[in-house]
Amino acid sequence: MIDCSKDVISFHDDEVTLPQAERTAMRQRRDANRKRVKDGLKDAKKPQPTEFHRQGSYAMKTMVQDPDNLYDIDDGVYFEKSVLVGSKGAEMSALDVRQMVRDAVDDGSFKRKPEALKNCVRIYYDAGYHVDIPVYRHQVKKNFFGADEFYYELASSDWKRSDARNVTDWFEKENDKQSPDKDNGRQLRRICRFIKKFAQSRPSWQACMASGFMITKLVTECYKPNVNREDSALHDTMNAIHDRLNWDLVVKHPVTPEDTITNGNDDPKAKAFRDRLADALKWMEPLHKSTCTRSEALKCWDKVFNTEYFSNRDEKIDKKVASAAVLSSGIIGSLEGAAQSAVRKEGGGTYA
Amino acid sequence: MPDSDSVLDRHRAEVTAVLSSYIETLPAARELLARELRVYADRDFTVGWRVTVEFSDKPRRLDVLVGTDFPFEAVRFALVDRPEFLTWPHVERDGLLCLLQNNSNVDHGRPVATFQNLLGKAHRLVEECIAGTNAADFEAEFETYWNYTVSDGTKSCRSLLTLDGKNRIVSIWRGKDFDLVADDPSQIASWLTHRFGQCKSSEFEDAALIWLPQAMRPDQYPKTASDIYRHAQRVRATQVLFDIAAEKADRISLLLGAITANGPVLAGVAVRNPKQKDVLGRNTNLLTRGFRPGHVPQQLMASRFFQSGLPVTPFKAIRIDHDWIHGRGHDARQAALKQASVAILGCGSVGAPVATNLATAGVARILLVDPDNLDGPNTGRHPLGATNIGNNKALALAKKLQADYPHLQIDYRDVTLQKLLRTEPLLLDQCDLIISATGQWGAQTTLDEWFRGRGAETKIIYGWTEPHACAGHATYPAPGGFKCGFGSTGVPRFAVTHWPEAALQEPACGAHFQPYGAVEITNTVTLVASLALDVLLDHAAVGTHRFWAGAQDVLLQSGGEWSEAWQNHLQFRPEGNLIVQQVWPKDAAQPAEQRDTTSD
Repeated sequence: MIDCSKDVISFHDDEVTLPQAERTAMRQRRDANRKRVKDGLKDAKKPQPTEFHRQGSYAMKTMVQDPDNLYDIDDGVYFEKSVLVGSKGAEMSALDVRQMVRDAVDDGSFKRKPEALKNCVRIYYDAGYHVDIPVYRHQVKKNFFGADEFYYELASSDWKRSDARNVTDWFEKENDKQSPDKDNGRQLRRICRFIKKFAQSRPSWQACMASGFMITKLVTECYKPNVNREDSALHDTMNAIHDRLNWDLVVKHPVTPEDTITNGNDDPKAKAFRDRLADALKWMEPLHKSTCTRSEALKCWDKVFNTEYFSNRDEKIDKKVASAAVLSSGIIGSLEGAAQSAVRKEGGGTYA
Repeated sequence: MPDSDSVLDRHRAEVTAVLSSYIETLPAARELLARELRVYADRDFTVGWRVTVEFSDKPRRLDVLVGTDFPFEAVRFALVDRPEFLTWPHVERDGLLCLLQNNSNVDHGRPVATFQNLLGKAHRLVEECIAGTNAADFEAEFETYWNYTVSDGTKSCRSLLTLDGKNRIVSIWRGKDFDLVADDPSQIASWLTHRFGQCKSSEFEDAALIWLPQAMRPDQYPKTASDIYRHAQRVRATQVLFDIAAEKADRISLLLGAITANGPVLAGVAVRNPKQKDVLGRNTNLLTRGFRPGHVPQQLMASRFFQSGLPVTPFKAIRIDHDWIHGRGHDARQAALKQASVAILGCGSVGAPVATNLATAGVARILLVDPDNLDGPNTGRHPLGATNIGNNKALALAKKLQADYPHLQIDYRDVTLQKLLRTEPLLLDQCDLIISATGQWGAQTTLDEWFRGRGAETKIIYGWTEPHACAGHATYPAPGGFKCGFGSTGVPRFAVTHWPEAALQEPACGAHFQPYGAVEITNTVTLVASLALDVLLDHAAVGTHRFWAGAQDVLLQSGGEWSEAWQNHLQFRPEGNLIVQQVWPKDAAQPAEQRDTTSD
């Protein structure tokens, strides 16, 4: 395959991974909201949390650039179970606790008031992004052997055993274990970002597309490392995921074995993702031809990511090749000729 | 039941996916990003692609755009690499190309073929723009391009002007929501009174109408008062500007007219009085500088008014004159109908919709006569509704039609025919046509006899429906000849239907009625209205009798049957649903002739 590794890495650094300014802004938003939670709970004489942990793609650092800078972050808040009791000493319900946190962050500074949703408290920003605060309680139980066992429960419709940190831990372990390099987030993480960027490359795909979490799980399953060739690692991983989904559309949860990320055996989002990967692999076929030029290769990558980034890097564009990339009037004429009956400009002769 | 929105959304998604798969195979095609689609924010596009197309001068980018009504509405194309707006015709401000007409159809089952067809049209259009061969379209479709230059919120001007190519001073009324321009103040006053019930003549001003030899192209649109003056100079219409320039006017409105391949057009322009502020911030009038107020030579004032560099304000001039309302300038019948006057006797279930149809058709003067008030059950087959229960039918209908068609003259008399003939005997003489839609033997024979006795040349047609509206008639007998088609007590000598049962009755003395509604009576109404137009246009001979036989199954369900006379008719069809034309009997002994057109 023609070597475009440097171009692919540049694309990652310029267009895929979050710029530092955005990471800083997100951290500041996160910290401001943590302060709001603590101050609000203190002012209301409510229990204080024991800790905060970021989660999701924010925690796994697999977020990708959004053209509108709409970055949604998840920052979980944790309470000791024993302090979550009501005024009469009864255990607070999952809803009560979410509402307590919602009230704490609602300091009157938000145009749209924070809401207690099913699985989190959501804070809305005018710019369009939001911060989700899932609420957890932790407690200790004795296991079968009499040893202490910590476990966490998410305040959902009820208290549900869950801890997103397990997902983060799982991913970091996989990234450490599988990546052949140690820089720039490490290759497994970069491949996750690339493929998420690919999945978001066309607005028309968004109605039915795999979630970021599904993509991350599939990448860890199918990742094909290549320390010298970022482009080959990406291509081969996409190919492997495509084959894997052809075999089985079910994607299991990485830390909750009995749980799945997909719905049923025929999840439409998994199917759509598989089909889009098939398209991408077809667009990348010219990369494997021995006659493939650099300009042609860059155009292939443009096609995959629906961008002009790669071609713009090529200062020596062959004008003939460029003109071959336009629709000629001859072709247009023959297409129209074959499609005469599809349009009736003068209408069908019916009026009202 | 699946939600209709989601059914259509799914269909659109499936068809879009087919189109997307095809477009992605084209060289250098790519899907538009969300921010690129937002360039077309007002258009409701859901997805798009960009292709680069070869043109004779250079490659240009085209965006292919799919909207929420796709595939039932065609995919659209926008030219990304284009010159300034209004340099090329058929290219909108955001680059959208006008490739189709408002009545064009596409095959929604073949999205790829539709795309290919329209891509070809887009390519051809842009090549014509590059070559300049379609520049004349700016003139032929002037109204669209002129209206692009009008800012949102600018008050429009409605026009009653006669578009005869003559430069002149005209009158304008300035209302809150729109201005109104006409050839003279009385026309404005009449229209406003008809429309709103009142008119203040103090609100009239002068405006100017100037005719250009051809419609302007965008680079010729006037931007300043000086441009107006130059246009007027070219067509030797500066005298109109001299006449209209006035010291006290804050602004002057001008209508620039031209004849295009598609008919006459008007452009509105407002020119401001070139007052300025002096160094102390006071208004100083450049018009009168150097002269005492009221002593500025008119020519000098006009040149000062119209040769300033002040920008002008374009506004839309919307035609509401008779020729435009009725046929958009393409109805040759209007020359006659604009001069016609019709009296309609009886404003019931036949007369009222006939009157409405004739007003809509453009009959200039209509007199409505009916002594009765509208009852509740009347509204089940009448253009007037509940808001007019208790009101006289003629008065209420005249008021409604006059407000709806303020350019026509609608009058009424809330009396019987007999009283009208006694109190205003000459009124009906002034009408070109009288339509008798009373359905009453006494009134009809009165009318018939009255005109026979006078020897007048007034034309009269009679219209009526048979029971249950299962058949209808319209006839144009000679004066005095109406009764030739009836027996001495008003029984038609030829009826289409026969009814074994007696007529229905309300629980009131003598209150018989026919149980039909607005839909059933429509064919009879159309019969009468179309004969009326034919008579006004001299397309029908005296003695014409048309009748409509309705559907047999409706007749049978209503309890009726075809009459023996109709069954023996040469044109008889048992299933009904046809119109027959024949000759009305000329005397009482003569049977009805059977001839001429049969139509459905």
